[in-house]
Amino acid sequence: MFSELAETTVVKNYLSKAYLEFFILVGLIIGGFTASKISGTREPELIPAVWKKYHGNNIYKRLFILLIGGILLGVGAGIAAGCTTGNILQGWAHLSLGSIVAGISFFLTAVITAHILFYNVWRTK
Amino acid sequence: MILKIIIGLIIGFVFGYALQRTEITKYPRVMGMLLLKDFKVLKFMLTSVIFSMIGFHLLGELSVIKINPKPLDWGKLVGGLLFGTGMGLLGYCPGTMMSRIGEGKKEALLAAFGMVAGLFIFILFNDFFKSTFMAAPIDGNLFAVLGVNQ
Repeated sequence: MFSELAETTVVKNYLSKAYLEFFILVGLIIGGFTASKISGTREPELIPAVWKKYHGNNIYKRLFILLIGGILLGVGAGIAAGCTTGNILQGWAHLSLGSIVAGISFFLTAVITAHILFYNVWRTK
Repeated sequence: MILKIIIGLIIGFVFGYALQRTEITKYPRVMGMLLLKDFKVLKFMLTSVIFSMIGFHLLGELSVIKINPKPLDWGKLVGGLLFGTGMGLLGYCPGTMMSRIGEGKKEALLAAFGMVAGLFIFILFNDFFKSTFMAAPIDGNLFAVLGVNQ
């Protein structure tokens, strides 16, 4: 299965520039670590406080949502050819047509999902 | 190769540092924006878009870099719908997820695992996605649509 995967065009295209992009991810982790260490704002909490307040202490509910959200994020970023960084920060700056559509679509669905998820918050101002 | 690794590390470090210090890795901040109450994240994003737009187009005019806009196809809309749902559920995007792993949040690790699984699905069904959503892309940027700066 893995040898077949390495033959697909996506993976081949990716491997040709993999070093730069992979080490950007590593750098992001190091950057977040350094910034939080220097400023003393590390937050090793497992569940965000806002989530706890409105959705209770059930850890499995949060982990299930995380896993589903992560899978959607991966597939969506693949189909839309870029995540928020690639489509909004870079694509909008390039003024490319596809990124403008993708960015608007990101925001609209994220706002709708958040309003469904935190129904109580915006209903009772 | 070693140069690429160093450049990647530097870009990632600066970006991750900025993401953490502007507090847009914080869950309440992102959800505040998505619930239309706190627009700090949006201000950060649009400021960096405007700033890098000037830089990109200046360097593009000087032929230092080549600006290649992303083509418009149905995948942008469909992928955007999936990605946006994931972003609303998680409360962060891939870039801030990595910064948040560095920040010490263990939940981001599971989200990163899910994201890798999602990319795996995308690669496995790549031919299907390509033929369904990414056929007949429209090339070009906003300049071509508005007919300015040609």
